[in-house]
Amino acid sequence: MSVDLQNPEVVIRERRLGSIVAFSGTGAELVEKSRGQRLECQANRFNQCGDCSGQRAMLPISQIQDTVMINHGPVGCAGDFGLFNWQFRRGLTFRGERPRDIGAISTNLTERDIVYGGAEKLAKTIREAHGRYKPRAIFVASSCASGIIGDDIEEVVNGMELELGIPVVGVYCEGFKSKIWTTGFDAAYHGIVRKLVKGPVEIDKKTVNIMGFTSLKTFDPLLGLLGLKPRYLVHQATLEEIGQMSQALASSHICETLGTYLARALEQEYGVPELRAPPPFGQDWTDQWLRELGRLAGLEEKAEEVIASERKRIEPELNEIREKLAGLRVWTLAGAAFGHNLASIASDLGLKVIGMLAFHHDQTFDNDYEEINSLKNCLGKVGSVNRYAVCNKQPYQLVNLLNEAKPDLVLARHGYLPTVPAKMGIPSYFVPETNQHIGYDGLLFAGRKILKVLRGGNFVKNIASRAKLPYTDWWRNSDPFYFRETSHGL
Amino acid sequence: MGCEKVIERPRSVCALGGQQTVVGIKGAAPIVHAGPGCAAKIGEALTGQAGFQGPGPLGGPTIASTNLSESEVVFGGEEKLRQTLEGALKVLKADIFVILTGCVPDIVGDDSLALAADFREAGHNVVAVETGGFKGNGYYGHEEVLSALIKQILIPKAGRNKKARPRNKKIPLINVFSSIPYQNPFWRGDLRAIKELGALLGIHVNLLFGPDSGGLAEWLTVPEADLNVVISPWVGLSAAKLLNEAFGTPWLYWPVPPVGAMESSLFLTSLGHSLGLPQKRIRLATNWGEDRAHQYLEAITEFLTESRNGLPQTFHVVADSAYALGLSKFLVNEMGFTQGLTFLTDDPPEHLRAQIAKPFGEFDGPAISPIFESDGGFMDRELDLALKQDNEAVMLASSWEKSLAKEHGAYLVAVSLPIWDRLVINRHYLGYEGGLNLLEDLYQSVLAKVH
Repeated sequence: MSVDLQNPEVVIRERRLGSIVAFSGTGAELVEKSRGQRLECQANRFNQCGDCSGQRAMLPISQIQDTVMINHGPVGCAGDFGLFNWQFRRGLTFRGERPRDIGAISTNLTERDIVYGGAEKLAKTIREAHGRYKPRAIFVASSCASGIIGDDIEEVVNGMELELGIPVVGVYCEGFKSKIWTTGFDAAYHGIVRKLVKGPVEIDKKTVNIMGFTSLKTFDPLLGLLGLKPRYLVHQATLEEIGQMSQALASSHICETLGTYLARALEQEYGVPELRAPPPFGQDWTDQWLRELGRLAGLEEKAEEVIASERKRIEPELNEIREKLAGLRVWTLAGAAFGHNLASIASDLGLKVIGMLAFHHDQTFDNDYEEINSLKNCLGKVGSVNRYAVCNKQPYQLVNLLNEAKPDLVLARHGYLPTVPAKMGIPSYFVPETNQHIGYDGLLFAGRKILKVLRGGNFVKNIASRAKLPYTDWWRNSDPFYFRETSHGL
Repeated sequence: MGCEKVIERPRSVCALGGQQTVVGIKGAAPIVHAGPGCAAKIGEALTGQAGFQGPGPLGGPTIASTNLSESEVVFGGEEKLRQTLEGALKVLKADIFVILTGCVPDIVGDDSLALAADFREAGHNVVAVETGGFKGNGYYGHEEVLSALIKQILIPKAGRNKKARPRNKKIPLINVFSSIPYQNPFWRGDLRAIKELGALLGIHVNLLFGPDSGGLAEWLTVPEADLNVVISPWVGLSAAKLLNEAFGTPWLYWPVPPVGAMESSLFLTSLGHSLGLPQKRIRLATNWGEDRAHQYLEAITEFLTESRNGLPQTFHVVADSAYALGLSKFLVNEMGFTQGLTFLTDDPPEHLRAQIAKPFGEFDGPAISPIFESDGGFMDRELDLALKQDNEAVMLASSWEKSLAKEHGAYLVAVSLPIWDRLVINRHYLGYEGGLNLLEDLYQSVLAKVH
């Protein structure tokens, strides 16, 4: 579906990508059923808490230098400002800059605002933000409360834009609007492309847009092999970098779930192609990634040289790691496509992927290119995956899935859930920083870290010896998908 | 209540913060009837960014939620809540379920209380609390949860206005309302310290929350207590009043949480008198506690006298009114510190503010006027000005102040939300040893800068 920049609001993933939040079957079945978007988005009849679009939208727009983010909602919606601040400060150090705090303000909607409307308070807050920070752009993220009471945020931001003379960007991310919380990423990018990306002023065939979560500079040496350089987007980026994303050799991302909306928008509006290769996790995917970049840059031969020499360089240590990890059975636990990246790494490290849990599944991406069919790429890499589960977190389901599969190790990307395997005596490797894991060196990095986790196994044994899982015996013996709308349910 | 100002650098969450009050009760499961991200946001703010306290046995991703979507906004969410509750009863191992509502149902008007009543009628321990985010902050949410538990479980189970069943009165029993689960990162240690203070007097303490409490079974003994003890300038008072109306239980109001030896002894003496305990028993307890704490204090006298010129003399506080009172009184009265800027971040109801502020004027030092403020941006600008004048000060504040501390070379002990640069396990500042802990943390922040 094309990106509609006339509409201030992004189209939610359920409608755009046919995304779903529940599935149980094999990986191959899911690839097959996703063709033509035949699966419907049905949640379980019983759910544990998820995340929301607001969280996912506010993260990227809190990370851009010299801007302020306003959340138009009650103060609880600002509960993760501290986390965003931690990420921003850390990210700036990756760029070699002095750590600074984010600019973030909550309009603190209270009972009175709910009754009389909060538009005026929002305008006041935007002025206040402008006075406090003198920012070069302001973002306004909506909330469930502001959405239901019907505050016309777009009218306010457009008015304030005229008054203040800087971009004021509305980002529409009410939590209740989409069951797929990564719709929030799209909402943030939608606002950014609408108001902050400038048209290209020169041809730049040396820069690659990298949509990711940090500016940790691991793409520099990897792209440097081809004489190219990355533009890390959008976390810790400057407004110049944001403005210039229309001029690039290509766009790529650390995860299709995160980046394909922005990539599609740039391709559609400015002709910057989305790189038609899986992201560079694991050596085979890194090969493909470099090869495709080489093709776009007219450096095919150079790419082949680099691939051969890099593979040779890491081979001795990779073999050592593989020997130590041989035979271990792993389960991946991540938001949709990043789990596929983890599986690719696992496979290259000689681990056997026996099951995967994804928080949702996009039946297509905004650019419906076969080369970026992430799950298909994953199965091509690791072979068949007999247990492929889509659960929007839902640790109660995870417990039963793991209990049945009994993996030796869990590879996880998202917080809080790894405590579940730990309580079951299963060690987990948690990926807090995606960029550390890219390319040939990222593969070795992951291998070393996994070996470290396995050496520390006593802790998990210790925790499991007395840990109690908070589930009834009835549930522990039930089908993990008992509460699917389509099954017997309650 | 509720502040009409905008909030930069927030120190509290919305009313749904009551979720973590429920998580703090052993065997209690929150059911969050709200948008899909509400429970996780509150969890993140009050556990991950609150000293990495951990999600709690029935908290974090375990929390059942209706994860409301567009259709419930349009058609109402009561059916979804019923389904979720039915599922939770089957899946989760819990003794009591507490429904907490978010903005969505509180705006569209779902009747969660009636639904909870239906389930109680059917024999389940189900309570409902309206904690829509716009109704107040996390402290308000905490009080609402207390009130709901009392009104929906304790009163019906005990029989309104009936005398509690007779009990062995030899060992007095008290209920304590003090450090708030999760919103005060040191609650677990603080509550244990209060239990230990009680043990010095030979009394039994219902802590109601945390590892040293007894879950629902303990809550059910609340009406039998001899005394409700509110160790806080305001949070918990409404619960004590409700319990007094329902069960006739008297309450002791102790607005300044006892930090250190002097205050712990004053508190124990007052508590002992309220319970009619023999004077000798009280004195034995306070002598023992003070003597013990002083042995430690004397041990650091060398450090204090010999390095004093390089140590901070002034302290600034950014904390909720309970901790600001407790920590300040200890530092001023026992340690001779000078109180600087004092920001109270818990946004208490207007009519209670004079009463909350009063003790600050009665410390053994120059009287100061605390400022009630929720907007961290405002506070940090004031602190910035103060530190420009004198950077040899220590801030008892949050991790938000870390950048200020760095910029000015001042000292920081993160004692209030949010805390993301410190791990809190069983640390506590209340009780005889609490003061010592505070000194250890305070001077650690000084010594950490030694080259």
